Amino acid sequence: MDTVLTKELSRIYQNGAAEVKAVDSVDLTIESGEFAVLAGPSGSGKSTLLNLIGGLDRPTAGTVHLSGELLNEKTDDELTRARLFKIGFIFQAYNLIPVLTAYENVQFILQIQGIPDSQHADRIMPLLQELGLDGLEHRRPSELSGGQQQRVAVARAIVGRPSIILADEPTANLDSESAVNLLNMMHRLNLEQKVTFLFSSHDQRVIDIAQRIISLRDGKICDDIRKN
Amino acid sequence: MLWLNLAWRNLWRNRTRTLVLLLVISGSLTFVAWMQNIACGSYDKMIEEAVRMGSGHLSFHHPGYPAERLTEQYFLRSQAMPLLAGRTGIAAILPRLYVSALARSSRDNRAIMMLGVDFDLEKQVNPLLKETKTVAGHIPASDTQKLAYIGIKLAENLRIDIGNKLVVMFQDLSGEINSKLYRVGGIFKSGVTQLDSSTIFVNRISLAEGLGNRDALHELAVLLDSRDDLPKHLRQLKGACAEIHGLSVYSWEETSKQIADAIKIDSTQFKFMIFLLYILVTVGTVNLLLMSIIERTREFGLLRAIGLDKRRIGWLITCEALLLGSLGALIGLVATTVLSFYSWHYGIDFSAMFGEAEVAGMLFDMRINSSWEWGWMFGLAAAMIIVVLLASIYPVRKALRIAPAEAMKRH
Repeated sequence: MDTVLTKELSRIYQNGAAEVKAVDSVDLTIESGEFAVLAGPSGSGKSTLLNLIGGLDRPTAGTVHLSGELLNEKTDDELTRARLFKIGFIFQAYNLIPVLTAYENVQFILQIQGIPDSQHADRIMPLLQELGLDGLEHRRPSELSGGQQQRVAVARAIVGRPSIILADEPTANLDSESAVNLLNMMHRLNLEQKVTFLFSSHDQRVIDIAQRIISLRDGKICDDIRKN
Repeated sequence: MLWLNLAWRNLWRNRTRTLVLLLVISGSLTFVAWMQNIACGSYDKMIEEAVRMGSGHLSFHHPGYPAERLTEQYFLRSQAMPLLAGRTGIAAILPRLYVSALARSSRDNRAIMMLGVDFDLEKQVNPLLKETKTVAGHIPASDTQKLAYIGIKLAENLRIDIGNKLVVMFQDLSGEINSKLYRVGGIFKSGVTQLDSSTIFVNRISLAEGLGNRDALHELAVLLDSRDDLPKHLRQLKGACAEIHGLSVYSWEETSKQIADAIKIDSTQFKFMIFLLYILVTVGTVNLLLMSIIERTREFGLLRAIGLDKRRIGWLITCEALLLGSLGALIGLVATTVLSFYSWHYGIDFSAMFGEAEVAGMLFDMRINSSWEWGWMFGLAAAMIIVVLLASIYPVRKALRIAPAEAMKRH
């Protein structure tokens, strides 16, 4: 089943009189259970494409379908709801809520999804253990290392059981060891729990571990390689 | 609880800013609420001293007397007293005569106002007829017919002293000129120039006899146990007076109009000051809340990105404002209670700063004990919470306009 389907997807920015095509007529399909990366140099349109797929930005032309639903026609509130239930985000700069503990950051998604409190611990604790965060659940982000924070961000992205995880340069701020550990954990989640991941990255370690490499240049897909 | 919990923690992210805001909110509330308690305490004091020096909480007069104050506009004591018989809640009844006269000593003469009073009754309630105001001699007793109690300036002008004679000439109730001889029994110093230079207190019965009717009165001042009972008594007595020719009843606000107006003006000015202060608080709160929103632009973008809708983000900031306003109001109320307890129990002596205050020919002691205006205190606290909530509207709108993709680019 297609998790993401884009047709002729474009995003054009006006820079004075000049037009900048950040994403240019992209046709892309991401299937359920894939572990794919959008690769390319800076300015190739990776993050813009990820934002369009995640409903954080609206396309200038073309369409985005997420789990069969057309995102283009949704209102702001409907897009927000789609992000809440269908997409998990992981950002470069961790972006945890600084006043909440690791556990509460993950719990926050369940709370706004309206999941009963009685189910929270059963869903959160195994996830934190899986990501090597047991014992750290009561720490605030400022008390965690960069790698630990990013693992909390992964747990937050996964806990709501979305259709896809969109990860924008998730290893960019991590040291080598933390980056490899994080990637291995996400790969294991993909293999064991069939969580769909779409990365945007130019980190070779991400490209090496990905099953599918979608290369972008000047907003267009220039290569799409699936590894066996 | 989630939102209140998150809002509470957000408030303390920048401890200094939150403390400054709390100080502004609670400080402003404390200032206006405490000042209001002191102001109301001073109004109470002004009214109570005015009714004791003046015409009581309510007073009986001839219908034309309050406006014209002519000697012949009198009524009979026997007309009014039955209306007060058996009535509860009355602290004192003070029958009085006011007569314009010419006072002559062997050396000089002066135009004066002669007050015929029952000295023993007045001494119990009238701040002017206290021994502390007496600079020479004594306040005459009620059964002393020939002694006068005169102002110090008048005594100086007439160049008389204790025991000296003075003759007063006045028009009696039939329009004839009459005169009476008194000796100076006591000299008072009120501090009010007009009183000290032109007032003589004499025995009411002797003056009434001089006027030609022993039962005549210009005023029957009634002091109540509680001012709260005034509307009830006034309504009943106005009804009763409607059936009696030549007799009317008035409230202190009608007979001491200058005092009532002074209080009204002061109170209006104070309300305007509260209004201005609350505007300043609003501006300050908007400013600091806005700084907090701008600092968290990226975070609001994140919240939108992970699925928090605009309504809930608005609610989160509203909760922060609500907590800030409520906490500020609570601290303000506690501080107001502590300060008001002190000023209620011990009083604050403003005389060092302002001396004694003269309003409408009356001198007021400037040691003020504040009152407890609970309605005002809670009203001002509620208004402060509303002000802080209103101040959050603009920052909320600003936060809701943040586009998640744009916000996430910010560092």
